[in-house]
Amino acid sequence: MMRHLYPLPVIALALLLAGCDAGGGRGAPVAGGSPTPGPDGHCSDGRAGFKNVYFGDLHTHTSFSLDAYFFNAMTDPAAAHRYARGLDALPLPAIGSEDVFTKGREIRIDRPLDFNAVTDHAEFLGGFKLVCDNTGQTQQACDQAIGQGIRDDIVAIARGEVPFQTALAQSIINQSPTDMIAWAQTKAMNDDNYAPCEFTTLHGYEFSSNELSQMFHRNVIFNGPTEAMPLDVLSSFKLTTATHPENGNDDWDLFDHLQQNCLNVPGCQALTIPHNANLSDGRMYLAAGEAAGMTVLGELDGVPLGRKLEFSDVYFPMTADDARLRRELDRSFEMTQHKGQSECAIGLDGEYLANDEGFDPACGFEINKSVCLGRADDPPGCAELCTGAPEDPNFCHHRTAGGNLVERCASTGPDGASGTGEAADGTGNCSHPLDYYRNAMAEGLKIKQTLGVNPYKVNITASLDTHNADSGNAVEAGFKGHTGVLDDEPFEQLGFWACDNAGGDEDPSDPANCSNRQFLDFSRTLNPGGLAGVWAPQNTRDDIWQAIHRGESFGTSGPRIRVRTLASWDPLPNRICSELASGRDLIASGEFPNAARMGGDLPPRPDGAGAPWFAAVAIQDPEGYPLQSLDIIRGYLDGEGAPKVEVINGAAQTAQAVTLPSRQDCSVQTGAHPATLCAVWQDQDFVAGRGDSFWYARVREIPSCRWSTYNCHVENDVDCGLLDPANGLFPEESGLQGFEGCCITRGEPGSFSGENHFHSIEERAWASPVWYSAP
Amino acid sequence: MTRALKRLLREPLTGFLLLGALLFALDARTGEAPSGGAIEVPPARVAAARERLQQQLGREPTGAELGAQLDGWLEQELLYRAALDLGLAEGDPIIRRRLAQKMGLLLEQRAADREPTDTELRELLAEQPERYAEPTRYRFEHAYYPREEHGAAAARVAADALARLRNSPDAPPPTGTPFFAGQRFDDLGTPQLRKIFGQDFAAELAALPAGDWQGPVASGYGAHLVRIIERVPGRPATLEDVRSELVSEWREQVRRQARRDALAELRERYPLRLPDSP
Repeated sequence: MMRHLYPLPVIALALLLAGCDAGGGRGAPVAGGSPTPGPDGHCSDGRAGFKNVYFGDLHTHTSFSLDAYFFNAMTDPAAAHRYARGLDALPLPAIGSEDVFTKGREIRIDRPLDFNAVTDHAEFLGGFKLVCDNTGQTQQACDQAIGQGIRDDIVAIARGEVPFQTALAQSIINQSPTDMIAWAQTKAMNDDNYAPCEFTTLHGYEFSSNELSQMFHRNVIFNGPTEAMPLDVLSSFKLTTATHPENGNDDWDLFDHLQQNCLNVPGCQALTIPHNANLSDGRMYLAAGEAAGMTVLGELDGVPLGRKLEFSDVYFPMTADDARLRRELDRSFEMTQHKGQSECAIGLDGEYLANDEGFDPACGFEINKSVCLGRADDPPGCAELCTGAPEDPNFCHHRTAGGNLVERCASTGPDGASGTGEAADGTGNCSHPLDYYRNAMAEGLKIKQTLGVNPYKVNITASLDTHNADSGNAVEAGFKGHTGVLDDEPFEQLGFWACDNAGGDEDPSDPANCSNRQFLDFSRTLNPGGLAGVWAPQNTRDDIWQAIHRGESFGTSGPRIRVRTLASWDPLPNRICSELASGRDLIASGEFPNAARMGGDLPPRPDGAGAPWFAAVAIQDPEGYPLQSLDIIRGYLDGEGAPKVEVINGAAQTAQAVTLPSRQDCSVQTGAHPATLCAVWQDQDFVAGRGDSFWYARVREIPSCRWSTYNCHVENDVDCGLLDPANGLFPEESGLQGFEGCCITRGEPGSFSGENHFHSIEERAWASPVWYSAP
Repeated sequence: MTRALKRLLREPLTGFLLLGALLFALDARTGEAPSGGAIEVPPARVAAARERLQQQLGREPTGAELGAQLDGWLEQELLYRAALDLGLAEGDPIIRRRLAQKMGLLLEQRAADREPTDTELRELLAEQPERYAEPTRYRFEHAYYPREEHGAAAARVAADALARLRNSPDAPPPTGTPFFAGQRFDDLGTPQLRKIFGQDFAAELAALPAGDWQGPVASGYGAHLVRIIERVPGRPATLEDVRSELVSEWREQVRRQARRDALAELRERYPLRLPDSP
């Protein structure tokens, strides 16, 4: 079904700038070399009729978060901002130490960010910081009583498998009023660290619904005068969470709360950023028409489940009003972050992908939960990407069954109803196509046909989700984890052999005395995370927030790649490439009356208009690697009204053969690979009258080393030939204990042998789609 | 004001005591706090209750209606006072935490309650001069030779163009290939220069003479010839250049210091006695 591109993609490598000198500003004085506000309040880098690109991070945890406090207690929101702005070094515990209160090392950001939002968990916000931080004695007591348990149980907690006593304690403790104080302090620190025109801080927090194994999280980002912000944050823990865990109304609770406490308050604006759909077990984006065993009061045809009656399994179909409310608040989707990428996954293109080959080879990037299980009935793409070679993508080497290796969900539903079998089993150990952005967006097109509004329509950013307060630290080389003492040592970062150890005397190095011996991937499946980019007139809180809100935004996997797109009913001239790259506001200028920018809606289709045109331009990170491919992804409804995704890889691409980085030092041959790519393309398959469509651009760099490869091959010289055949561990004399995760391990006790991985990645960026909303 | 008095006022403990006195005075005025004696309903509360009732009823409330409206408050006040008299606040972890938090916030807020002196700001500036310094700024033009066009030869192509220019003074200036952010920049400071061209390019530019075409200079995108038209060398910032940044930095530091000082002082006031080890 992959069709001809017509005309052949115009690869515009030469970007003309139509007689305008960009970036120079107005010659206003610049304090510290950065843009400053002028007497009229405008920034010195603002240019009438142009937008600038700004990079930032919208997802950071500090010690105000209930978990991050016990990973690195030496931070607060101010420290995160000062790190992000390049002002201060950030304190971290010593590698190998479990003392989260004592500085053992410090790090500095490689390049300052332009904007930053600290988003601590609303659940018991600031509680442990305030309670435990009084004297050294209390800190240690807190850490022993609570911190150790949190660290030991982190895998279980991440899956929502919290012991009943802990859950009960959390529910009760969560009712304490400490969050108001921490929230007030957060807002004050945000305001203190806001430097208009140079560095924007945004008010925000994270709503972390985590019940029944379904990660169902959203960041809330506010705009407006600080006095207009809500006085408290909404926590997903309720008093009844321990006794009656459910998540069916968690999204509506948040949206209602924000509507009542912000949208209805003069001056207050809020948007939400759903994230980790990749770990939601089908909960974040429910399929239309799927009841998941619930009793439904009403007609579910073409509509997903909506609100429920509390403490019951009785649901109502989603209403148009609620769909509108969700669309009003969910404005940006976190395409990638520390816990993996959520655009697409090998094996989970499912029935959505229209391409003949049945999979998109570019989807092997930073998959956290893989459904490629090495079986004969694996879905398309698994065998093609996972060949057993050391160069296979990282996900091909996931080993933790039930954690990072899961089955596709046979059914999905709220309240932990997702499952792999005939009946929902509530184990949550599954993954679904709707956990990934482009499939969920296509599903939304279908829901719109019934409800008249697309509740899932959301634009794109990316962020870190660090729990170390190191906002913007998305660098692969030298990555030492994002959760303080929890993942800074090699065995934690790369994984390790473990036993059930129910009796407490088992030994992972002795296969004979180790029940259910398995390799835990632990943090090996994680990554440094990504950044958010926006096109905005200037760097102020309002300008940055509005750009995210209107979707003139993109996400990157870390590098500062720029990408900008536009769609139009009229043919686009070749100069569109240079015009887009220059930052010119082509919509406001009126030159393209029948066009829309990224994140926007195409205007009504003019009489006699043909298929729409789409233009995308990408510019490499000036301190990063060249570009390899610019891809166009199209979402639409087919002739039967089924939601579909078509991927046009290489709509513009390098003319040179792509090679892997050096095995010796990870260096990359830039060759003649392009610094910029541009594609101008017409959607010849567009059929008017079949409902809505969307188009977005994805751009990929040439391959570079993954963080784990730097760790195993460059920072350390790990030789997997030295593994002990008896237990698959490095012997003490090798000096490599803890680096077992660098190896593909074959064989069994007595015959283990190892071979080094060589994981490379194609760093990338995703631009917000342009949408077509049918009348 | 004498110096001793000034110093006294700056002491955290003095602030602590003054605040205590202030709270006491406020409490005395609203009449809500002192335990034991008669309960006087604060006039503001009566007025608020009356107004609320007026809105609900659309008329002046009767005395009984007003009384009923105030009953809830009175009941809570009675229980609150009795609890205070019985010492129930002692050892209550929630009250303990609330009061500790309030005190911490009060101490921090008081610390930032005055304006810094110029001397203090100058000291702050002297601590991190490089952070506030005005960086070198450039007016320049460049000709761009893309890597995707010339590959590894980009630098040589640029060098050849420069050689041709130098050999024939009448030759037109080099144009290269159009660059996405423009060919001429009128005022670009080093941080902005880095954002567009990368760190290495910014560093190389610093070493080039102004006036003529120079190069080739490498960037992440390929090679460039550069003509610096004007270079405004960086200089240390003066107090007036960065006053507002210094003031916010001063407030931040004072707030952190105030909390540390107050806690240290309180530690002396309330000596810690650890239980004897068995």
